[in-house]
Amino acid sequence: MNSTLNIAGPEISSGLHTINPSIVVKSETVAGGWSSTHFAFRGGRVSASTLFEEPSSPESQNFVILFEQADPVNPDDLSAIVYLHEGFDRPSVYTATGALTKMSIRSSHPIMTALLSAGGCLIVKPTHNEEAVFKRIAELMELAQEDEIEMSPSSFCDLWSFISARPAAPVPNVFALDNGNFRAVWKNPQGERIALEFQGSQTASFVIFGWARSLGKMMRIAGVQMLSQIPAHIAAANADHLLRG
Amino acid sequence: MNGEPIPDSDHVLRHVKARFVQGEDIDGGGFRLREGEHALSFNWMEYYRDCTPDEQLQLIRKPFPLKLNKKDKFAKLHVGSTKQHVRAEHPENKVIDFIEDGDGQVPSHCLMTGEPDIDDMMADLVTDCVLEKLPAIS
Repeated sequence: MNSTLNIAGPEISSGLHTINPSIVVKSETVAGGWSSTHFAFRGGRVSASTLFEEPSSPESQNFVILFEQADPVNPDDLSAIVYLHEGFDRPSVYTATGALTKMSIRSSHPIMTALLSAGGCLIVKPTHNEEAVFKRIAELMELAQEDEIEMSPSSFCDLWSFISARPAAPVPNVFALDNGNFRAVWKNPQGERIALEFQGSQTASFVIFGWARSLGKMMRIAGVQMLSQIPAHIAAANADHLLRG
Repeated sequence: MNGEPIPDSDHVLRHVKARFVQGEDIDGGGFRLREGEHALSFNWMEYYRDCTPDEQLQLIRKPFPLKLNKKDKFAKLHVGSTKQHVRAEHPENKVIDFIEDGDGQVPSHCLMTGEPDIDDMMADLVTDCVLEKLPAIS
C-alpha cells in the first residue's frame, strides 16, 4: 500500500546548506531484503534503499536520516536529505523513493545542536559531494551483495559525517572492503593521497602521501586514529590541500 | 620452479574485484590479504613466455580458480619496478617479492610476499605501479 505524506519543516538558513521548508515522502510496504540490523539495496531501476539501525549508547542520541530520491527519471539522484531527531514525530519509516538510516550520534555532534534548535527536523539540499557519494554507495552495495559482504552501518555513518562536514572538498573515490568497511580516497596526479578506511565507532585507518616541498620528497604515514585526530595527521603530512575544493 | 623468484623483467596480474575499481583508480583494498591467504595471489604472465600478452591473458583467464565478474579487472604490474617502488618508498623499509607457486590447475599462479608482513601502506604503494587494468572477462 502506498501513501504520501507532506512533512512540514521549519525554514532554516545556513551558510552551507539551502534548507527546504517541506518535503514529500512516499511510503509503501517493506521491500524484500530490509531488516532492522542490516541494509540492502533494491536492484534494477528502482532507487536504492537502505535501512541502518544501531543501538543508542548513553552518551549518544539517535537521529534518523531520510535520503529522498524524488526524481523518477534519475532515481539515484538525491533531491533532499531529512535529518529527524528520534523524538520528532516522524512519518512511516518505509519510504518508496528514499533510504532510511538510523544513526547514533554523540550529543556533542554539531548536527545535534542544529537539529535541536530547529525543533527536531532538518531538511537540507544535498551537496554535490553527498550526491556523488550516495550514488557510489548504491553501486558498492550491489557489488558487496554479489560478494556476500555485509557492509558496516557504523562505517557508513562515519564516512557520511566526514564528507558532510566538508562540503567544499573534492568528491572522493569510495570503495567497499572485504571487511565491510568503506574506504574513501582523495588523490591527485602528483601521487599525493588521503585514504581513510572508516572502521566505525569514530575510528579510521589512514594512509597519507603528501609532498613536502621543503624536503623535496613525498611524506608517507599510516596508522589508526580517532576520526577527530585525522585532520591533524593530514596536516602533518602536508596533504590538507587535497581536501580543499 | 615453485619457490623461485619471478624475474624482475616479467609481469604479473592481480585479480581485482569491481568494488576496488572506480574510474581509472584501483584501491589498495584490492591488494590486501584475503581471508585464508598468507601471501597475495597473482598470475605470472611470462609463464607463457612464447605467447603474446593477449594470449597470456587468455591462458590465465581460462583456468582461473575464482568466479570472475563482468566488472572485475586484472591489474598488471611490472615485477622489478613494483619491488623497487615499495623498497624505496615504504617508510618502514618493508620489501616485497614475487614467488612462483604454480600447480597443475593454475600453472601461472605466483605469490606476492611481504617482509615482515603486508600492510595497508604496502598495498597502496603497489597500486602506484599498476600499468594497465585488463578486463577479467573477455
